Amino acid sequence: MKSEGIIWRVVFARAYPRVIAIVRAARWTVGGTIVSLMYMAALVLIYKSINAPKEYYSFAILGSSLLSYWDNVIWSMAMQLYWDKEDGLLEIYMIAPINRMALLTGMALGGMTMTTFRAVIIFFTGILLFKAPIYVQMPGHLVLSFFLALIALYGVGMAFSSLFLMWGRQVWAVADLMMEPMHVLSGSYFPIKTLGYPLALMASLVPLAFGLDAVRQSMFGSSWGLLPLKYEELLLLLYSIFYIFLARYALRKMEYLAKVEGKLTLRWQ
Amino acid sequence: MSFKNYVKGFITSIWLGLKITLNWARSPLIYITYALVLPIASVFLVIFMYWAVGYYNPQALAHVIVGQTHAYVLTDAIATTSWVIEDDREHYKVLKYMFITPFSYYLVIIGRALSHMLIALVGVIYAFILFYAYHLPISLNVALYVYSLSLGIIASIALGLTLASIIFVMPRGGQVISRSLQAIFYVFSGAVYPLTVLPEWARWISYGIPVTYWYSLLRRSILGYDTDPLLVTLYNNDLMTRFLISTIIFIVFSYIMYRVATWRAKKAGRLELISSI
Repeated sequence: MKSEGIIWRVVFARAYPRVIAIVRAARWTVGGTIVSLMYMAALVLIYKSINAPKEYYSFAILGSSLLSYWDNVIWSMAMQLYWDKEDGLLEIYMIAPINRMALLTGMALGGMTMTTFRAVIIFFTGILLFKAPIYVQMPGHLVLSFFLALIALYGVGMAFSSLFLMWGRQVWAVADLMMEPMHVLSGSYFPIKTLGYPLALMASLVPLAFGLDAVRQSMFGSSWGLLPLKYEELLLLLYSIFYIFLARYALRKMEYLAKVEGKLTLRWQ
Repeated sequence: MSFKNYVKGFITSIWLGLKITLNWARSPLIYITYALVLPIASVFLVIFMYWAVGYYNPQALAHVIVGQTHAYVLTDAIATTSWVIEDDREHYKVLKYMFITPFSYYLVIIGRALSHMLIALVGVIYAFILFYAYHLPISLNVALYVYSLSLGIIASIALGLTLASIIFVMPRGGQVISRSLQAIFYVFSGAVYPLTVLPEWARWISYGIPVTYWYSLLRRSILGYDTDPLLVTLYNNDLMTRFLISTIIFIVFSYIMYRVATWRAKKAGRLELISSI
């Protein structure tokens, strides 16, 4: 069989369990979606408690919806190789004659599909429940910035998965730090320019900030944005390329180091 | 087993909990920094939301600081109790061994959760630092605060245990249940906004949740008054009694749930269950 054929079979094989999990692990799907809906509701209610304009409800809903992808990137991409190691699956992956990047790509595509289900439900439930206004001022840019953001975010997840492979239980702390603190710094529920340019640009090292901002600008207009939309899209493209190459390099490097240091089969550390 | 051995076992489980929680960090300072970052982020999330709208109200800010920082104690207790069972069963695979020791696993879970509580209290100290930083008026009633905080910790562990018991008979999904309960408490307890924001039907849920009264007691003990217009009409003694009664109910309920769930888990052979979480 040609090597490209094997690569795509690996991608499909790794993506499949994640896609089918939407139905087979319905308890997780429904439970996780309800939890996200609850937190989204709390954020909208915070805005309601201070009589904020209704656009801010939409920001909170949009942020909650898009952050589902970030949650998936951290817990199901970055942490995945660590979990596979703990479960004893990693060594099986390593002795299989497969392309490891194809494995990560499959994880990413499966994760995106799985998360889209949750993100769509959160978004539309939020909009309907709180009667939040919704506009799409630049549909073309919305599609472009959304997909660029997804590629960049999953690139981060792929890069982090290799780094997490080397670590022990501290990955939990790192993953925790990538959640709520990152939600704050990336301006998930409010326009990121609220943070001020120095802090906002620093936070933008993680593509989540530009991703959210670009999507928000495409929908609600450029007056809410940190940088002009075209620049943000360009930066997202650069981030996508950078993080995917970083993932490729990190995977090779970390796999080698893990073998040298005997960490591929090390558990419970 | 003698009472002395129970105490010894309980202290050992607290010590074990502290070890497991802290020993990934090279020094306790790293852990404390990490433990502080989370409540800092959660408070600043709301502060930035206020900034974005251009809103500033000391009362609302005080409400948020008390709610967000203490919410960590509650969520930590709920998360830890369920996580301990899953971790022992699925990760370390020692749950069955726990049950063949003469010590009570119920006390092990409480000890492990209590160790987390001790660390979560770092975030509570942070609440007072924020009050100082924002020049917010503070009128601390130490006795009421100690009463509320202690009872809150006990209630949180009891609530967590009630929920965690379900995990004994569940193949997986404990974290989903745990997070669902945390989310329900966060939305309906009025931790970060007054209950008046909620629709009428949702307020009835709030009145049924003991945590609502806990936050009210904490606000009264720190600020000297309650910032929630719906709860402000209740007397301190009423709140304290309501909270005490609901805590006792949850303690009893958690023990009954634990006994039933462990009995069913043993019967169904689920103490050795591995579901690849």
